[in-house]
Amino acid sequence: MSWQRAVRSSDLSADGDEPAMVTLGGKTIGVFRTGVGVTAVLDYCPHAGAPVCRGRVEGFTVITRPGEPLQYDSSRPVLICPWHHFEFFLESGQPVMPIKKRLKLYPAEERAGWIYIDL
Amino acid sequence: MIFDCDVHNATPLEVILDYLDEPYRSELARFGYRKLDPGIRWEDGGSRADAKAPDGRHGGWDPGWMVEDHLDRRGIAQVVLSQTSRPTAGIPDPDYAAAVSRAMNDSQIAYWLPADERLLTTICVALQDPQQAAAEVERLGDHPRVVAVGVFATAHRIPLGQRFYWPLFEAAEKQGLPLHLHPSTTSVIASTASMPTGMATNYLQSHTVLPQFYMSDLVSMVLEGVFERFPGLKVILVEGGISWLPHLMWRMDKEYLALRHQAPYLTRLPSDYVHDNVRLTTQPIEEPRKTEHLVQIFDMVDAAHTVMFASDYPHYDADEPGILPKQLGEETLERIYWHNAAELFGAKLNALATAVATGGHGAGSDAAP
Repeated sequence: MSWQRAVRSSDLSADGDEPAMVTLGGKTIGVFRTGVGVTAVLDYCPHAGAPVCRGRVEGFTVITRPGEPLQYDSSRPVLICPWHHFEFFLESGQPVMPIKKRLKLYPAEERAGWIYIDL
Repeated sequence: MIFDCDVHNATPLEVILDYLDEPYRSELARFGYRKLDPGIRWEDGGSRADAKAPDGRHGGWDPGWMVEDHLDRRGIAQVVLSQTSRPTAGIPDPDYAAAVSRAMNDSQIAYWLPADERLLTTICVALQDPQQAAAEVERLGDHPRVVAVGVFATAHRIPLGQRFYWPLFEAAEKQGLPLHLHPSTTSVIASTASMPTGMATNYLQSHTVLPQFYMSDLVSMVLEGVFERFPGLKVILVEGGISWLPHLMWRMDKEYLALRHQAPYLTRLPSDYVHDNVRLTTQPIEEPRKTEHLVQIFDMVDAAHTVMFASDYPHYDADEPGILPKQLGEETLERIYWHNAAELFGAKLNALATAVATGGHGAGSDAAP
């Protein structure tokens, strides 16, 4: 465990779209605040190496059965990579699509006005 | 060395208006471009979120930003600018399409090429009127940094190989300019039949079936005898993928052997014309579960001589130069990244080198002709 002070809480946007970027231990990490809390994401897409934190955050277009009405779940934020538009759940780093690649997330906590990340 | 055969740029309308003849200048100043749209949200393709200039426009709008963000950052040695198709593709009026094409080309040369000597360009032509298209090729074909004729709307009213288009092919062959077929606009803009069997529901479906349009284009061009009639004509199939080609070549050869009398002007197997006259670009590269399958397909199409790298910058599905599998081998990779394009555009590159050496037309001194 190696908790490190990363960014000020006030640097995080309220809507989650704009991460606060920080470099710790040679790693570039984006810190998002969304409805599922604070998430620290390694700025590297496992598909093609894109700076994934420069993508956009949207709700989850729910996987439904063919013919059923489209459902949109804004409580499950998804990070959409700026290259090729691969989608990953911010809560877990897991891909929305049936592939085996996932985002690298770091444990993050908010304490006394700062975000701490466990590298 | 990297030769990027597909980079998209757009010139602001207010710049194009300066080069546009009346009555179209007044029309576009008042109403904007005429539109043909099958109801698919083009923005679902759109541009990479990280290719955004400081003023918020995407990287394809600003020459200086594109040079910095794409050419410099990725070490690209030459680029073919593909322009954009929206203003003319599929618009029914041939005179309008020809006039807007001329203005786009003149503004392209004046607004984009001075930004960096690594920028080469296509010119766009109005497929609606091949005589005017040929005239445009003759008007600008000698410009040393015009290296290809952009053909935006491959899904047109008449299949691409038919005699209707031959004046354009004759002019392109004479000028030594390959046709640079760009399909993404084919299905999204130029035809309401956004997939060959009808109207696709969305961009996902439309973009997935782009190879079907190229299959039709290629069958039409080869089996109408275009490459027998114009043996020097080269055709680049951009953004349509590669893996469909072995199937098409084998099937076309088999069908031809049984029905040769329906294409009696051919003197070689259809796949021989494809090998000699057709080039494909890499993006969006197929990503099968087993990379060796893609390597096998590259071998089937003799990629060391027929495939060229393209990024499609700044679009969302742009490929980085490092995306090609290393299993292709160093020699083949070098040919895909550089030599195949350098050979295809070789005459123009040599002329450009001469012009630059003598202080002529090449580097940063272009004015609209």
